[in-house]
Parts: sequence; C-alpha cells; structure tokens
Amino acid sequence: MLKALLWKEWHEQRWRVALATVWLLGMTAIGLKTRILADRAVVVMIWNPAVILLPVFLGMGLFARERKERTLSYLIVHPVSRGHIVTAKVIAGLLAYLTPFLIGGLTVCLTVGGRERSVADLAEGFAIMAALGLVFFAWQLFAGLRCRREETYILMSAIVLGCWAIHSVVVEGWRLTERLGFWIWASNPVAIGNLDWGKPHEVRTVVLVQSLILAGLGLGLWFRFRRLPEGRS
Amino acid sequence: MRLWKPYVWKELRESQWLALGVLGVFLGISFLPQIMEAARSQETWYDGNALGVLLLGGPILAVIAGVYAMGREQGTIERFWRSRPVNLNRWLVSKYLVGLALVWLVCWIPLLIQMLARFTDHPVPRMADKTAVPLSYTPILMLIYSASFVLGQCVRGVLHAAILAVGAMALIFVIPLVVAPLNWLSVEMVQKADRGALNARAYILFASPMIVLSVGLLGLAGVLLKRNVQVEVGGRTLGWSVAAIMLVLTAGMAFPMGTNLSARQVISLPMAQDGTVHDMVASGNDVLVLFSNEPWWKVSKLGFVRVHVGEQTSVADEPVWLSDLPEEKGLYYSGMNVMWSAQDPCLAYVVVRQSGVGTRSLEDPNCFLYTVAFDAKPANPVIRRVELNSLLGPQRRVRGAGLHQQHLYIYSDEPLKPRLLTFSLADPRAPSLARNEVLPHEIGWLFQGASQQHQLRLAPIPGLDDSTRLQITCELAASFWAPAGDSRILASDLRSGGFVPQLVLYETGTAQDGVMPLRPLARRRSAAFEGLLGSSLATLFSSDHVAYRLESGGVTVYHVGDSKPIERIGHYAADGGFSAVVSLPGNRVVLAGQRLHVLDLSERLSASAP
Repeated sequence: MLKALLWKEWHEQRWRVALATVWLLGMTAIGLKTRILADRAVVVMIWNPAVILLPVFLGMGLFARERKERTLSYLIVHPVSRGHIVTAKVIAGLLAYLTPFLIGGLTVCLTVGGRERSVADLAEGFAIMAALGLVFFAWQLFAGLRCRREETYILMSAIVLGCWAIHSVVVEGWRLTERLGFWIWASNPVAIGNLDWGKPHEVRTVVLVQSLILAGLGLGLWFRFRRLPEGRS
Repeated sequence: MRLWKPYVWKELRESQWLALGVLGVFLGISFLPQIMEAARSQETWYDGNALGVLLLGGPILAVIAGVYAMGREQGTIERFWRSRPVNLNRWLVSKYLVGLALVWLVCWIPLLIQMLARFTDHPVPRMADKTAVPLSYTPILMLIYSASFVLGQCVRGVLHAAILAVGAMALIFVIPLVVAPLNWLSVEMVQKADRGALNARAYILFASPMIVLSVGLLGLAGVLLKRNVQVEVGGRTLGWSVAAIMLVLTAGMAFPMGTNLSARQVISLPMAQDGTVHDMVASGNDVLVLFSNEPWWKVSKLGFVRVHVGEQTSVADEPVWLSDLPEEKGLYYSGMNVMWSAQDPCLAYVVVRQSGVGTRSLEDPNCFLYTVAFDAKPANPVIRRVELNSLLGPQRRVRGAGLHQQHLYIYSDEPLKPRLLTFSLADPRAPSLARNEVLPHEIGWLFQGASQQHQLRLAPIPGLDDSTRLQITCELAASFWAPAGDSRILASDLRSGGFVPQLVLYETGTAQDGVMPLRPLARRRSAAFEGLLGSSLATLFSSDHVAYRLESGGVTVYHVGDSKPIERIGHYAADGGFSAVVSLPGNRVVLAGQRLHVLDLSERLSASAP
C-alpha cells in the first residue's frame, strides 16, 4: 500500500520537482557560464535563497493543498493506516526536496569542479546547504501540518524562519552560548550552515542536537497527523 | 451608501492587525538588536537600521498590503458586497487609499522615531538631508503597491496574485536598470539621493511617472472590478511562467556583461592551492611575481618567481624564497609593494610590513625595505634590509612605492602627516635615504578646487615633467584613477550617484604648485547590476590606451581611444578574481589569480579601432 501512496505523491509532486530543478540548474548555469562572479559566490548567491524557498514551495503541496481541495478526507477514509499516509508524504517530500539539490549539485561538481574550487569543496558546500534546508523543511512541515490553505502554509513557514532568525539574534546579542552552553546555538538550524570543521566537538554537538530535533519533529508530525479531524464522522 | 466614512472605517478595522503586526516586526528588527546592545553598554538605543528595514521590508509590505486589500474579498464575500447597495468606486478607492496609507505609515514610523530620537541628542541643520532617501523611495513603494492591488483584484487566488505581484515588483526594480532609456526611473535615484545628488527637478521627473502609473493602475482596477473580470491562473502555469521570466531576465542581464574574452595561456605558479599573489611587475616579456603559500591574512613567508611569457608557451623559474631567519619566525607580512630594477634585472625591491602575533591581536608593525638579488645565494637573497620605522609616522603606514631612474620613492599616508621618502639608487644594491619630507597635503586624490574644477595633487618631486610625476604619483597613491596616455587620466567618479561609479576620462593641464587641473572629456556609465554583483570597489589600471577594472570576480577591459573615448572591450573571469595585472608588449596582458592568465587583446583592439 505504501508503494501506491508513494506513486500518488510522486505524480502530484513531480511538476514541482521539475520546476525546482530547471530553475536551480538554469540560474546556476547562467551564473557559472557568464562568470561575472567567482564560482563560489555564484553558488552561494543562488543556492542560499533556494535553501529557504524550495522547502516552502515543495512543502505546501503535501498537506495544505490536499486539505484545501478537501481530498485528504477521501485519502484518510481509505483502508490504509495514517502512519502509512504520513510516511509516504514525508518520503515523497524529502525526495522532491533532495532531487533538485542532487541533480544540481552533481551537474555543478562534474562541470566546474576543479575549475576554481575542488569537487570535494563544492560537494561539501552542497551537502551542508541541503542539510540546512532539510531541517527547515522538517520544522515547516511540523508547524504547517494543520494549515488548510497553501497561503497559510507559506505564512507559517515564514514564521518558522523568523523565529529562528530572532533566536540567532538573541543568542548572539546576549551571548547565550557563553552562559548556557553551545547547545543553545546548536539547536538553531542556521548552526548547520556555520559549521567550523576546526572544532570537531562543536560539529559533533550540532549533528547530535539536530538529529535529535529531526527525530522529535518526525514523531511530532506523526502524532499531529493522527489527530487531524479529516476522516472522522 | 453615499458617505466615505463607513468604507474607510471597515477598511481600517480589517487592516489594523496587519498594520500593527508589521509595524511591530519593523520596529523589532530596527531597534531590538540595538536596544539589547544598549542594555549592556552605554550606546544609544536608536542607532538601529530603520532605513535598511524600509528599503528591504517596504516593497515586501507593499506587495502584501496590495494583494491583501482586494484579495481578501474574493469569493463569497465579494458576492455578498456586490449584492449590497455599495458604490463600487468608493469601495475601491477607500481600499486603495487605506492600504497605501498603511504601507507609508508602517514604513515611515520607525524612521521617524529614529530621526526624532537622534534629533533630540544631535540637532541636524537640515532635516531634508535625512529624509531624501525615504522620500525618493516612497513613489516606488506606491507603484509596487498599485501593481499588487490590481493583481489582487483580477487574479483568482490570493497566493497566485501574490506570486505575480512579487514578479511585478522584480520587474519594477529590474527593467529600468536594464533598459537604458528608462534609467531615470530606476532605483538608482535612491542612491543619488543618499549622496545629495538628486535635485528637485530630477525628483519630480522620477516621482511623477510613478504617481501617474499608480493612478492608471487604480483606474484599471476600477474597470476590472466593474466588469467583474477575474483571471484563473493555475499553479503549474504560474510556476513555469515565473521561472521562465526569471531565467530570461537573469540571462538577459548576465550575458552582456559576462566573460567574453579568452586566455591565450594559463601559467601555473609554484604555490599552494590557498596561496596568494601579492604583487606583480613586468619588464619586457618577463614578469616577476611576489607570492606566498598562505592566504593573504596570514602570510609568514614570501617568495618570488620570475616567468618568461612567450607567444605560445611560457617558462617559470624556480621560486626564490625570501630569507627565513629564526628571529622572523611567527611574523606575518602585509602590504607588500614590489619594484623591479630596470638597470639590473637581477635586483628587486620590496617594501614589507611585519607584525608579530600578540595575545589577542597583531602587534604594531615594523616596516622594511628589502633589496633582493636573484643572483645571490638562494638561502638568503635579501642582500640589504633598511628599517623604515624611524622614518615613518607612529602608525607606520605605507601607501605605495615607485621606482624612477636612480630613485626609489615610498609614500606614507599617515593622517595629518603624509610623508615622501626618497632613496638614492646610486648603488642599486644599497639604497640610501636621500630625502624624508613631511608633505603639507595628501597626494593622489582627485578633488574639486575653489572653482569647482577637478584637480589632482601630484607628488612633489623636483626636476621631473608633469607626465612622469603623474606616473609616479599613480604608483605611490592612485585612488581609483590611472594615467590613460596622451595627457589623460581615467578615473572612477564615486560622487556621480548610482551603484557603480562612472568612468570619467579627464584631460590633464599644466601643474601649478603641485596641483594638476583636470577637464572632463568623456563619461561612461556602467550597468547598475555590475554594482550589485561586486564591481563597485574596483581598482583601475591602464596602459597604452587600454584600461582594466579589477573587480571582485574578474576584470573588465576598456579601450580608451579618441573617437569613441571609453569603449567596453570585454570581461574575463577565472580563479575567483585577480589581485594584480601587468601589460606586456603586443597588446598582451597578464592577470594574476591562483595562476597567471595571459590575454591577447590585439584582435579586440583592432576591431574597436575606427
């Protein structure tokens, strides 16, 4: 049954994947071909906004669109567990999010790897950006699960991003890492983008804290989805 | 309903929470970090960036407010209102005006709070100077709001209308920057206002079309509302349309200013991957490169490599490392200037600043003039060290150094006490101090004299003609200008407004009392997007009627001729930018990045010749 659900989700999301891939690859190709800026600057300028925008664009098609079109009720009344539905949606969402990154990253590494930056250097940057977007994606899915419209989902995603931006300002402004410990900064998804490989202890802390957060968000998503009112008589 | 009051009252009630919410966000972003800072230290609370919030947040708010004004009425609510005895024109106009007032108020309140708070502490003589930027930005916000308002009215689905409104906002910003005849409508006017270069006439010319367009858009919204025209745009169609527009716009902007020159040779240098080229000089077809194996901020060892650049192939000699004495361990180098002796190609001179690492920062620097002999023992090629500390001011600043015949000049731009050191090269292997003079003024700056004429102060070197002094002044202290041959200089005019400084070609006059008068001959305006992409802080270099602008990403080449004074020949980028450029005979140029890139401009120059 999971396979059928995945097939359905893929057929609903594939145009978004294609659009995201074309946009990301097209913009990157223009930047790398014209070479107005250094390769690294081009990648940062195009992929950093993508890390913010793609999770929102792909996430709003998962639950909010189905609730808006009232198709989620029909899906839920099928003889299939809610766990399967949410698993299929999350897997499809992750695949939809990672596919443009994977295709774009591979293409960039193969075409301009070694030109100014080594392939390993580029791949590391792409992996970090993909991980950062992934955590944002998880937070936005969790926060926007109950949104009944795509517009509300976008608003909720913006609130999530705003909250983490305020968290960054507060932690930085009040120097909370010195008072409370590094974990307070490691809990912010932005910490993934600022990993300092020269400090392995901090890297381990960020990985551990973010893994725990992702596990927690997955669990929370499952609980929240089980309590959705759709499908109840 | 014939009165305006009920319409306005309804709009105010429905919009108040959006207004208050966004105002809270704007105030928070403007002042919260500074308030937190003020709580810790004695700094003032109001020095936040309210203007930055207006410039960035204003257009976003205009889009949201514009789409929200009509978009929220779509569907059942609109049908309900149409069934009431409501005057559609009043309904529409009141919505438009209340939304516009909301945008302006929310954008201006943080700025006014900041200005009033500053005014109580430091009264400013002319409040108009402080309000020039937001005033020039206000018509742009009005146009964005109006476009969003129409889209909110005619596109079914608030989300789709909002996406299209963001696209419209991008077009409003981008099209006047890209299409040259519309440049006078571009957001560059805000930059001009910031520099005090926007007069009342230019402001009226800039603001009037925006206001007229806004009124026209309001009229269009009225017609669409009366005829009940609403367009259904599917998510897929919308997505692909927006992506296609963005790709076409980006490609249209990027390709005309992208790389179109190719390298004839790329020469690898014997340095590490994160090494740095600090300076480069040329003599004939030979190039001398000063480099280090470390990034520029932690240079602990310097090396020279001499490269003979041939027509097809090039040969790089073995690198010569400057002495690595035990007492120099833990020292870091910065601010290197290289000179290559024309009399003896085995000799080079380097001015270096050495700094030791203290507990938390670098210690005060020590400055030296090294004489390097390539025919000396490879273990110690530095045959003479002259300490410059006692000859310079307390900050030991060295701006530049140059070589002319038997003399070597070092210029220190110490605040209030600029100095010019002159060394005699009677014995090229042992430079000796000939003169150390404190200058009454800094040299090398373009400034406007009493008669508003542009002028340039030359280095006070007796016995040399103006042309030679101009060349030496360029080596010592060129600030965004370079000699362009035939008694001309090419300069970046930073005060002209816009994102990118204009290139201005000046004709030089006869110097009197060390000041050379300049007469502008031609100007060249660069695409504003070049500034957004990092060209604003470019360094100029020129040789034989060809000028090079070194930018963060590459180099742009201009032909400085007579018939078409400043013509863009092309752009070249590689290796993440270049740190030095020298020209070789035969219209060739060598650019130093991670490697040396040799460009041959002969074909381009012959094509651009009249």
